[in-house]
Amino acid sequence: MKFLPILKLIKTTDDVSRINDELEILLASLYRVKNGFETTLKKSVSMELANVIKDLAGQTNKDLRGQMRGLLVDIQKYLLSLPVVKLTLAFSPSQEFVEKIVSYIRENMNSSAVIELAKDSSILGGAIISASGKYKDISLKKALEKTFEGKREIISKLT
Amino acid sequence: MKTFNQYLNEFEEIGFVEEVIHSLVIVSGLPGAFPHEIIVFESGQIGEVFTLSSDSVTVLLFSKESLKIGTRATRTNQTLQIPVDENFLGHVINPLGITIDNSKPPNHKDSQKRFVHQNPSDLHTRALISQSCETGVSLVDMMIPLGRGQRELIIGDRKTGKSNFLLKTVLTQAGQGVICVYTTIGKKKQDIKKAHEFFQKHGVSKNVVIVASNSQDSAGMIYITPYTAITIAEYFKDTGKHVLIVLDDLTMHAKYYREISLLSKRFPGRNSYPGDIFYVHAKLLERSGNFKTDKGDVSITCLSVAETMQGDLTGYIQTNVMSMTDGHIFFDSDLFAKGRRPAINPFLSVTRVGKQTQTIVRREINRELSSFLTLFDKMQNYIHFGAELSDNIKLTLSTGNKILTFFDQSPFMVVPHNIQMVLFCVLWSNGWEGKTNDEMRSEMDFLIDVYKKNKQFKDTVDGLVSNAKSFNDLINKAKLATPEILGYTKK
Repeated sequence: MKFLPILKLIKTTDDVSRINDELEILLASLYRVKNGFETTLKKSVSMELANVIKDLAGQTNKDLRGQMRGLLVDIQKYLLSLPVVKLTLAFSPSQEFVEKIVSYIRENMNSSAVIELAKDSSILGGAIISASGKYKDISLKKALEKTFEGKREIISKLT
Repeated sequence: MKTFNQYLNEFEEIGFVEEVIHSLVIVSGLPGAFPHEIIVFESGQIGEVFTLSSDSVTVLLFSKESLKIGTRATRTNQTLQIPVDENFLGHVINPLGITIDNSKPPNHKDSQKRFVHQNPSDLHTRALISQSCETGVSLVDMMIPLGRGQRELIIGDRKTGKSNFLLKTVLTQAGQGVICVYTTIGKKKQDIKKAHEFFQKHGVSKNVVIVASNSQDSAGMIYITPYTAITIAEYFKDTGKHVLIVLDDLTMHAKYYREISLLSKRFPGRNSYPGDIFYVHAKLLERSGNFKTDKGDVSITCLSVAETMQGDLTGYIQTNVMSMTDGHIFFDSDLFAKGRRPAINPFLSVTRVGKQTQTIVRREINRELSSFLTLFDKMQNYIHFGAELSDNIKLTLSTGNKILTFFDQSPFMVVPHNIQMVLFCVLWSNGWEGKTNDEMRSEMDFLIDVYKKNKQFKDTVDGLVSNAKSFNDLINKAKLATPEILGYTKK
């Protein structure tokens, strides 16, 4: 619950990766004199992340670098622990589409899941989903293969 | 075996390679995996589930090639199976049942499949060991006899003649129609090839299958080698044939299992071996024995090998395997250095069930020999004092040396039971008095050869043994027949 504001910024594993990189930049700036933590937070990371960190840091004594470091490392660990749902689609989805999928997954499957998108036009349509070790192929390609398999004799007579 | 995608679509479970540590692969996912289940990777490699944890599975790979991080894996819902049929005979196969010699691979289209990991048979299926298992080595057959269904440990330092003894035993048993499964665990390719050529040269390869893993194979492949071998042995046992299985050697198997266990971060025990090392070998050796089947009593005789360091019989693995077997044959490096071949120490060797398979005559010979050799051994210590020796002592020493010469056998010479007994009786009744040990040895070798080739001589010898009611009776008959027997050496 503590890191819910962070979760709202993340939809896909690309987002996780981007935020992780920004956290690394902040961690590196903690003990610098020139371009220190405050400057880096203002200039080098995204505004959304900077606001979230300021809110979370409000609960921490930001003058104590050790505590700030602990907060940033905790956020990184949280990001690594997020369950990933792998989704293979036949097309590159729009941002709106991605948000719809993520909100559906978070409402019906796992409230803190992020999705990993892959494009494979050979599946023709539908999707291949894998999460928590489970795998489901509900692509159009598989459906067609199944249909042709069952009607092999009829099709061979036509040709 | 189906393809990766077929298994993926069938079981709808996926895993991803997270870490590769030599022959162990940590795979995340696969929530339904169970121990020893076969896991198939996208790249075509297969492995077996070794450890299960809450969010990952450790898989023991069977191939040497490494895997990339992120490679997909799926379950097969079955444990390792191999095809088993008579077509394996005469071939060298790897632990997955694939032929690795240069011959044409046999057709396994109609063969049945058997699981490699099986529980041993229950107590009520076991029968008493009653038939003797001839090794063709006089010292063993007369003093440390084996029975069919017995599990005997062959133990000694490296290069003391253990493998030689095993090849001789396989030669003898295969010649009698027993199916032999010769297993090499992590040996050099050269040694495997030599064994294969040996069996082909002596014309017994039609009754022998070699299950081989060489030192270059992955630890996973080496680990499952003896289990594959015993599975094949069980198949032939179920067809009603007696089987001899040789496991060369279990100390090497233990070392590879230790490597796998330490890499998978299992807690190390004594000598860094894992706590279940005893179980790993016990569940293997318990699958052999003498069994009651609808085809009568059928046996799997197991000769397992353990290597010692400087004759130390108190090692961890060595004592483990000694406690699981029905006796051990100790190859003494001191005797080897003195030129004794085979270098078996009969005083430190044990057979727990072999003597019950001997006939009355052989048992009496055994008893007589044991007490005589004990006396001879004491006498040899006594003569070091340099005291003058009486005629009795000189006779005992001379007879003892002749007996040791009798037991010395040239490499790969196999001596059948009956000729062993008759030659010993001729020796015991001073048939070779006045001759040197070398002369006696060469005449014995000649007579053994005649026994194998001359039917009349064979019938004479077999008749002497079968009609004898006791050891003394056999000695008297042999004494009378000595001129006729020794006459063959002059022909």
